[in-house]
Amino acid sequence: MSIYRLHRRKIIIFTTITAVLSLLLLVMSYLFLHMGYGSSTIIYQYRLNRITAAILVGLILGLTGALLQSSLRNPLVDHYILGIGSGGVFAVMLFYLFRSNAYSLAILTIIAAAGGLVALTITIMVAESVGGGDIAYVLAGIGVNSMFSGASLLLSYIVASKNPYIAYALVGSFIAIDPDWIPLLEVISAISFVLYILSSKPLNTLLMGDEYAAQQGYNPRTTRLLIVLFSGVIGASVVACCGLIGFIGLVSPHIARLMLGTSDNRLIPVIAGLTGAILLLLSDNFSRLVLAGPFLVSVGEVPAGAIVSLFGAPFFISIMIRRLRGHGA
Amino acid sequence: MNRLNDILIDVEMAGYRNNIVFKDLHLRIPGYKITAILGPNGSGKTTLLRMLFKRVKYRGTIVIDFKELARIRGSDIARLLAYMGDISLPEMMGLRVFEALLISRSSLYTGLIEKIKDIHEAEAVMAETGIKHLADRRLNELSSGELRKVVLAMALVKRPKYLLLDEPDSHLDISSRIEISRLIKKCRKNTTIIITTHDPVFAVNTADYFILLRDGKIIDKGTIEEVIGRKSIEKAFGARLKYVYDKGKLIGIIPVYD
Repeated sequence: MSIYRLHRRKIIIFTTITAVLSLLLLVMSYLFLHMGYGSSTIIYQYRLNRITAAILVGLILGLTGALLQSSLRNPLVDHYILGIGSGGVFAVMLFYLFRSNAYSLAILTIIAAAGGLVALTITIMVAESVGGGDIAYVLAGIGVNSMFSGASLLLSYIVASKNPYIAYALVGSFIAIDPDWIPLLEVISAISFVLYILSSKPLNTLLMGDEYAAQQGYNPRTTRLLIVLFSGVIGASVVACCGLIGFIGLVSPHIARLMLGTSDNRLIPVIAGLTGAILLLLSDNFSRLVLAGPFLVSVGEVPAGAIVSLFGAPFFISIMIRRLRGHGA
Repeated sequence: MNRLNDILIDVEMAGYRNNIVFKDLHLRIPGYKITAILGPNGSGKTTLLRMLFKRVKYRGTIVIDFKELARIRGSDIARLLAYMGDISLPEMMGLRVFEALLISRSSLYTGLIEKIKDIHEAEAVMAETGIKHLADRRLNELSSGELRKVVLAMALVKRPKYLLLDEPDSHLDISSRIEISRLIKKCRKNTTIIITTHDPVFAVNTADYFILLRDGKIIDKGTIEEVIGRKSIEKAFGARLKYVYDKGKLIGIIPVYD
């Protein structure tokens, strides 16, 4: 009982912080909108959309990252490392190449998801053919990732004449966010929540091995495959909106696990999602301010994805070193 | 003798995609008893256990809990039996002992959150198996002996009708083996227990009924006196054995090296 009391306290603290932050956001936006300095158009039509998009994307990436890590029983993966995101970007680039105008955002999302599915299939096939260990997935993912990002980079030069913002898809940014993305992102995050509810119990049993999951009434192979495919595809689909943002899906579950001191899949995906939302919102704000103001050179805005990688990668490396040393891997 | 909870195995053929392990396997495993499946490595012990929760394809019939196994749904099998072999311990996702017990009970309740009854049951099982002091420890930080006890508790917490334990004595020192054997015997009252082992001493001191396997064939089955009388343990392992008696009670089996 004691552990669960402990968890409950941590969860309450965490949700309180999140609630206070969101309340602050609401109050601030209200103040700015109605008692502001005549800049409410910018805030209402641009900043608010951007903030909402960043929160939703962070939520989706953190949640699917946690699901991917537990289903593959591999703490080193997310949609970026596995190459799923690059596959999505590549598919979007291809789409822009052949059809320049008259597209709907939903179609773009589905195309990104399809590209992610192709990349995920290649990664899984390559990794499973060499044994399917932790490192096999990372290495296969790096291969697939490089392949698709290289191809996307090539395509981006051609597509740039049609869509000047397309280069941002390679690093991930919320500069060119369209307000029409918000309802779509809401639907995607709702889908990922349904996936979380359906998969948290089987994932808990899969943590302790295939035979264990089987005697708990789940078919380990099909369960794992379904969860990996769905969470991978959902992770890839947001690429169409804001480009390839790595490390959020990788770091958030680790932070969630460290914070809660457990890997219970009924808690981790949600907390990872909230962590991802906070992290991405912070990075996006930071990316807007860091090189825009009087501090350093004033070049305007930088892509949020770059900021995320800048802080996410060292954080991840430090977690890796501490954990692997601590448990004598 | 209560024969109501017997498991009946009547199988023409069973095994994996390109490896048939059993041919013409006919077996009755008695209910409410501890049955030891004894045999050397690779004799099909684990396959026999895995067959009972549909992890091995078979042609024939298996009757468990008065029902044909093929007709029982996966979620009902999860409520009916508990299988415990080695569990995997991913080092970066370490679970605590108490959480592992609650997860083991997760097939018994619907919805995401356990009921207060499940928490009470987990605490009761921890008290029964003497692992209360380990509740907050992580699984991957336990010693082999502690882990074996926790794994046994993870099986018991489901309160299964059938308890299948795959080599509960592996990687254990003598005192831990004795402890595990004592714990297994304690749950015999309303559970049908099947253990596999390749240690005859552990089997003799734990089980009531013995099935001897070698290369997928049943060498012999029966009580310990019957099995020893027919020299079947020797046949199963292909080794010479000496039996040590103390006041008429079998206490040890020693392999003879020559």
